[in-house]
Amino acid sequence: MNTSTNLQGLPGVFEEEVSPEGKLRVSFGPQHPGSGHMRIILTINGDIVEDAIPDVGYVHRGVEKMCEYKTYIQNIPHIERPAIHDSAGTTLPYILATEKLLDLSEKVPERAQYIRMLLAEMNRMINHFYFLGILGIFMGHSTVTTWGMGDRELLIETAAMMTGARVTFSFIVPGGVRTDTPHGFEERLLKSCDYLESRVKTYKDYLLENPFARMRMENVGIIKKEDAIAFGLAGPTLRGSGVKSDVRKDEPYLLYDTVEFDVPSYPEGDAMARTKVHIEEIQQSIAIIRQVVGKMKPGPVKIPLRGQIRGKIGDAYARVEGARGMNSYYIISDGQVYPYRVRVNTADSRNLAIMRRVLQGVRVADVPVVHWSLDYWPVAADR
Amino acid sequence: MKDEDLLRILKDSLSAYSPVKVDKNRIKISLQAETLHDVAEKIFSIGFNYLHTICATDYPDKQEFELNYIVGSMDDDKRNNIIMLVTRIPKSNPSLRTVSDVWKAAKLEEREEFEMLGVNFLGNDELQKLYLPEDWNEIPPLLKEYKLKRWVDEERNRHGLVIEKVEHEH
Repeated sequence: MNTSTNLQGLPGVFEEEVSPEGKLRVSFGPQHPGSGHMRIILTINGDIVEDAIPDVGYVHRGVEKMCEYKTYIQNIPHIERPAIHDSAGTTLPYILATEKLLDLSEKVPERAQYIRMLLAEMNRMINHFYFLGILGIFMGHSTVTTWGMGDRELLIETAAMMTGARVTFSFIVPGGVRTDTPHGFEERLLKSCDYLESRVKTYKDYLLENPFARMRMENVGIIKKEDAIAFGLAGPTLRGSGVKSDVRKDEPYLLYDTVEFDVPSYPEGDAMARTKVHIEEIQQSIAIIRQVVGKMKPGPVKIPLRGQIRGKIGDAYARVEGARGMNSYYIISDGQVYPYRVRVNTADSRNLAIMRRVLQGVRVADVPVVHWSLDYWPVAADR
Repeated sequence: MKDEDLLRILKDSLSAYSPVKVDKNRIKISLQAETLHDVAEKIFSIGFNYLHTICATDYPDKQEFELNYIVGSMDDDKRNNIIMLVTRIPKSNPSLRTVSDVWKAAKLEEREEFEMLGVNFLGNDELQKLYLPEDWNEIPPLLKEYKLKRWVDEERNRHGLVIEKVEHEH
């Protein structure tokens, strides 16, 4: 078995090939409706995948380079584009790092921090419902697909009520958030949470108790705990391998140390464990939202910043627990209005490191399930 | 673990270097490129087993690359701590030893920095293109001398449409 992380040996454009030993080489993607603008070059022997080389970069847009050409504020909208399912979790570390460079970290108003938490947790649920929906597509389970998309829509509309945008909010800015929550927002959010909590049980019945779904996901795509750490995996993929790590607990940011929640984790390391983590994280997000709404008091939501903001000379590193895992930004500032260097480190790009290894030896029909359960979203990984 | 406790451990095991606390939970160790691999192994042995990222930065005026290795830990008591190893290498010979034998995650990170800045990580057998198009034949794009809007500017100049650059001032 080739245990390398190497993605190379790419043959470029090719048609299906059969080697003299009878092994078939075939492209999975990039036009595949589920793979999301990346392809996996599969070498198949009978029904078993012998090698799977991920070919990435179809949606690389040079976010790090673009950051050097735009001001700290102008960077916000294009930074969140690659991760539309988790735009709050992607922008937040950038904002936190920027605030460190502006010496604002201690000054952000409490209400703004709570609103950021609400948006981040809503985004986590939006991402997880999307995850369950696409998982349904990949398993041929069309009921869960439509449910996932439908329940996600409820949260998207709630988020749009607060931010004015459906998926890319650009709502979190240095110094706070753009505006306060609109009238009646909290009630609607709590009502949505009550409804979604009742839905989670249905998802459990249809995915976790369903014998066919269990056959598709149990003991498939196993990642060992030590591999998950060594390859730097993140998020539900890491926690599905038995590592109980969550940045919200490990290094609390915003006001996550004032709310109580659990970090779900399962030692099995298979696709089922990762799916369970997703479903239970929805429940935890609902719990966090209820506590936050109870704690929120009226007050300012933003420190007004005047003129072009300039970071102090130096660097800052901030990380948060995004929906698909730890996202972090390392920003170097030379005192100008543009950052000197921005290093974007997304959970997706790290989860890519293990893909070749974990796909080797699975059956062809399991490739989509394993691939999707890794929480790898090509657009956020390519940046 | 509190920063002070970690600093004490680091000063015991890495007495030749000077770890500095730069921010809450952030400790920076500046070192020579030759010693980077040894220090990487040492901090791995005290529990820093989870590489976050490697960031290379181009400094054209000094003709140097700065490399930041940002490392965290999955040990229960060090989850909040982050160590940043910082080193500089000359652009005339931009190569240093890989750390992918210490952290497996480094292979992909090094490959990206190789592709984007041209830093050569000796011992990493996967230094090939990753995100850039297969027919990319220009200089590594994250070098400062690669100008993002050069193509646009050339095209505008060709049509006599020179647009003054807007300077941002207070």
